[in-house]
Amino acid sequence: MQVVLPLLIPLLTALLAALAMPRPRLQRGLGQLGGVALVLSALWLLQGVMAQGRLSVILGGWPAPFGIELAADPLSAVLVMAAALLALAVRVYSDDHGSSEPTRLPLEQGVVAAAIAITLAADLFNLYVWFELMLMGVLGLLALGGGQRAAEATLKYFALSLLGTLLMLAAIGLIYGATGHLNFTALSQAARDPAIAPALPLYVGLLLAALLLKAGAFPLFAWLPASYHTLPLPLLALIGGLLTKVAAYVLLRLLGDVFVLTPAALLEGLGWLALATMISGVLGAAYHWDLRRILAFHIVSQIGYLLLGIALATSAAASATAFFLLHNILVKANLFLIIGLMILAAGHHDLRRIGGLYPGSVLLALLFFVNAFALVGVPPTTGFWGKFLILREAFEQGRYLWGGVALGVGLLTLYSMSKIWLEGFWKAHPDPERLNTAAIPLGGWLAVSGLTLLIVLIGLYPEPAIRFIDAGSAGFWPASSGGRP
Amino acid sequence: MHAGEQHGSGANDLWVVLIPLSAFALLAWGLTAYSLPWTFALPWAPSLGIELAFHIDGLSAQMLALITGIGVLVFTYACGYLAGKPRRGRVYFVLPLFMLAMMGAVSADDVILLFLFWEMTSITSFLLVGFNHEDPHARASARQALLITMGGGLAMLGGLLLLAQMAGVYTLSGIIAAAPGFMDDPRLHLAITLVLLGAFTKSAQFPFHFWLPNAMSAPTPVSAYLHSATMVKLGIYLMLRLDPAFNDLLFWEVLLVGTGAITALWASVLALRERDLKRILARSTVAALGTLTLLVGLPSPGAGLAAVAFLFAHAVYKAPLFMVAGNIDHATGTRIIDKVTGLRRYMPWSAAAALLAGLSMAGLPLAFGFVSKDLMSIAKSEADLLALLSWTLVLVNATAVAVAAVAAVRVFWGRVETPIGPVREVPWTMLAPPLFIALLGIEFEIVPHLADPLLIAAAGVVSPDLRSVEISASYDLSTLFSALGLTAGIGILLYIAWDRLHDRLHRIHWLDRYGPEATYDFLLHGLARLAAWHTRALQHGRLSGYLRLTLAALIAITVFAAWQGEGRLTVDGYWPDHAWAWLVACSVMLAGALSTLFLQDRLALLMASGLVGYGAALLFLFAGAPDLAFTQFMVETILVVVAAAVLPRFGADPYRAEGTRWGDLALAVAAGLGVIALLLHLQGFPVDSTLPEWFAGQALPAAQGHNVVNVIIVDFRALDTLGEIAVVAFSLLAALPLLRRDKGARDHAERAGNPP
Repeated sequence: MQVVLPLLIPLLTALLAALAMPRPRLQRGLGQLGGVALVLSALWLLQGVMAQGRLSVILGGWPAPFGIELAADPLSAVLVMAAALLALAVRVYSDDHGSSEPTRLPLEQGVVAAAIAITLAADLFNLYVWFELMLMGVLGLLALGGGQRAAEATLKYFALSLLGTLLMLAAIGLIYGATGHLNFTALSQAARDPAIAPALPLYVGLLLAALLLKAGAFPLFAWLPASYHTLPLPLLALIGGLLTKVAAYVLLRLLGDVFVLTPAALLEGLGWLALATMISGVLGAAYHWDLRRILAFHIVSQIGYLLLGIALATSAAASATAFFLLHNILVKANLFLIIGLMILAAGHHDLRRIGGLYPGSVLLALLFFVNAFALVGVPPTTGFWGKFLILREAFEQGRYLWGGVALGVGLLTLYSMSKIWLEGFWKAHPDPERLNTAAIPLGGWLAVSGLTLLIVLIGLYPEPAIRFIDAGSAGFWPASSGGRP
Repeated sequence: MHAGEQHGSGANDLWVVLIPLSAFALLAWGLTAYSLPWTFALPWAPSLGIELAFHIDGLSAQMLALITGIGVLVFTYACGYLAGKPRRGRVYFVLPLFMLAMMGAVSADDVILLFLFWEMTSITSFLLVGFNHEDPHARASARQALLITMGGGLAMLGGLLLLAQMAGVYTLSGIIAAAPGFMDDPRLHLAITLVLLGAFTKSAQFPFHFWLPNAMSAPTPVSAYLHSATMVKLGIYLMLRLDPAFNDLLFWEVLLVGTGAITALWASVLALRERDLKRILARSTVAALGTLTLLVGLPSPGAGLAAVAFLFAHAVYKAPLFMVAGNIDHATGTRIIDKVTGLRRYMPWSAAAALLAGLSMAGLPLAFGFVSKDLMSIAKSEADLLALLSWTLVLVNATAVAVAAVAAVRVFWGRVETPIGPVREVPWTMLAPPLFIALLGIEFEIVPHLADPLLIAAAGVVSPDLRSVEISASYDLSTLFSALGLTAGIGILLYIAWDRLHDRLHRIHWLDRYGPEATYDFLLHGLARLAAWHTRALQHGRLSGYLRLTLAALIAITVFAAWQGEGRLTVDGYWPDHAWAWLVACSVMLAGALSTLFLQDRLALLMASGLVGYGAALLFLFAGAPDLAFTQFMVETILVVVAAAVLPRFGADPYRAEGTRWGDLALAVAAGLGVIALLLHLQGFPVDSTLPEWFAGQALPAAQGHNVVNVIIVDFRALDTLGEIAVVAFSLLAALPLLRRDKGARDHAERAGNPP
């Protein structure tokens, strides 16, 4: 029950919200209720995993490799928690402002359900189904924007993302053909079978390619900056926080826990791709003046760090990656919410047309400041620990160039964040009459401050989170020496 | 901008002084009550081996005394300087944070903790430098300082991490203790270079020095505190801290002495190019920092003492000079030395403070600076380094004399030529601090043992061998006076020739065009250009291009993966029963796919794509999945019929392909061949039929179903079905607003009298 609830609650909320479409107030109440219930169920799951370790359930009660298994270990439980918090924050944020399309809440909950299901799935085909659901939900949300730009963005997202989805399906089919299994545990056993193992690198590589597209890795990220900026902001935070992250999580899970014999050359290639992703993303961010596009490109850059952590392929690296994932979901989404508040207060999303927010609102400035430095990776924020753990593992393995690039990209991220600060906060507003910090609703403040508080708290005292995640990643890449000095 | 304006003394804000004052009092009490070093540690991230470890020894105590002591006076000064300014509350908020970060940085033993406080000083400094943020120059300077010092900080993190990994421990004390053990480690030079990058950027060493003069757009109390007395000393502190570990290393020595000497000389030359009093002082601060770096690099134990003493002395004379420069700015509205002269008549107290501090700075007797200069000459002789180095020091010190003369004499004592409007002396809150610090410098000279214990304790940390050197020991008067005389003589010559030298140097334009600062600008612009080129090339907005790139990348990754695996393409061994039907089905699909390439009419295109679906359905039919086949037939038919009904509403202009692209053809063929190869590859491996056999066996007895496929869908793998139902439901939801909008648009169009 603990494992299924975080999936069922958003699905149920979506269903009820769809039925309640003609009654906006009822729908809004449902959204709030569902958001709180989801966080509670995620807490329950977290508590269960803490007490008992890995939890798993097969709906329908069929024995293990035959039924579809959903499983939660510390890694997935942490991510479910992050997703639930994010979903609630987006609810709190958007209840106070913005026009509300009746189909938005069900679609939004569908995306949340899909993201959570992807982290819990322990069955390859089931995983695919949830990816499909996510694709459809995001498609619907993109189309909500209306107008020529949104339609174009929707089409681009659909065409490119579908390519990844089809490839994923093909890869899953091939893997099933070679191993005869879909269940993760059974797959990981079959993958060690010397009769099958030689076939797998190709199919796993195919799956890797599909997931790299979904994660937004270089040079497969074109869909992301082409579509994200047309989303309304709280949704952009939700999707920017979850979409690519769960794909990276699945990569980590599959390479580190299921197909553990992936050839070193494939991981090596992934590492170099990670560097290209980091650099490419941050360059894109440096180019743009539109707040939403800047942050969209930073998603790509941060995905690079996650891929680097995966490419390092030890249990310590898996732990680092998972911690970074947790950090990145919270901080990236929060930054999107914050630029939402900036746009509300300053009247535009183009940095050249806004300004004056530092004298305008010291609280907003502080919130941006903390989250921007978390993204850069300055202690004592979550971002520092995430980057530090990855950097340390890279150095430990003698990957000085990889670590060096990770540090350098930190500097470029700082450049990009300082651009937002200089233009948005310090520069005087070119049109002072449009500056209206009173336009920021209470819900926005609440959501952003709550997430920031969480980020600061975890950053100040990361030990519990690190230890919890360590427990989950201990079994990753069992062949690696792993562990810490 | 605030010439002649007076906003009162700011005495109402003086409560903020309590913050550094209490810290200073606590430190003083601690020093008398407990003997050094003080060590304590709290667990922080034990699973990473990182703790909140502090280690306060003589060196830290000296820095702490500077930070809090100068802090008291700077905070007082700030109250006067900022009186009446809007948003000064933010300075009072950030300045204590900065002080806290400094105190933490010099007390931290854990390298992560050190990094935390180190970056905190950069960040708070960013906010302080950007105080006048409506001014684009202030913004750019703040960002420059941030990027350079934090960039260095990131490099330092890398270096510290390497050191920690070589030493197996995350504390500075542990790393220093373990240093002899990893002297031959191949990573050592990389680690030292990275750590020194952090120290050099923070302490404004060449070629990173330029941020410091630019940071002079900060309010003066900030400059006095951050950019002369404390923050820029942090890099020196780190070098001093690590010196015992690497003192014998030639690499360390060469890097420090070389960089220090170049920095000192270069900054001395550049100081002569400035007309802005604050920038002149900043340049001379850079020269002093270079001298300090050089001293740390010298291997003799005396050099350590000299560095520590000079560090202290510099803080004590440079801070009041900055404050006086601030007073002049405050009272006259300008800092350009040509515009102000003879100010002693209007600002006698400022003049007195400047004179006292200037005396100390120039290394003349009677002031604390004397002792440190003296020590510097001792260090020089002990180190037995090239005479060149001593000449460097003489030149640098001579420039320091000249700068002191400019700041203390020229502006206050020069002839009054043209009165510059009403000038009034600044309030007492801006006079007491510089006077007090400058007097302190004199005080330490008259009663040197006041500072002795602190300096000896600090120097003992840097050079553990140092025992016998007495700070106020008798010195060889003749050599001393010859050295001093030479320095002072050249200094005075420089002062007299200041304007002429300035003009000469000012005309050398290549210094502006090719210097490190120009390089920074070039890099910053280069980054913008690179980003623009990169992003326009990759994110051009054309879907066909995206598809091309994505497909190519996917193929490349797959080929790379195939290269890593084993297996071969197995063609034989499988020939279906209804081979002719398969051939027909495939031909239908092929015909459909190929004809989409040539058709232009939208309806025909739709039909052709329907053929592909029909072919697939045929394939299913003969592969033993009739139910699947009929579903496919139905879906395809409905799609074509519905789409055909809707299509005419989009107008009848024919679809035009982009033209023939051979690259695309190659890509498509490669993708197709790839899929075939994948399937043939799969055939070379045995089939595991555990799952199908179990499903077939259990469908009737356990799930009470005759149709295995149905049982799988609704029972064994019901969760997949739930997901798929959700997908269908959500696709409906996704389409709903589009349909509604479309209807709305149509209604609107009809009302407007246009055909839809």
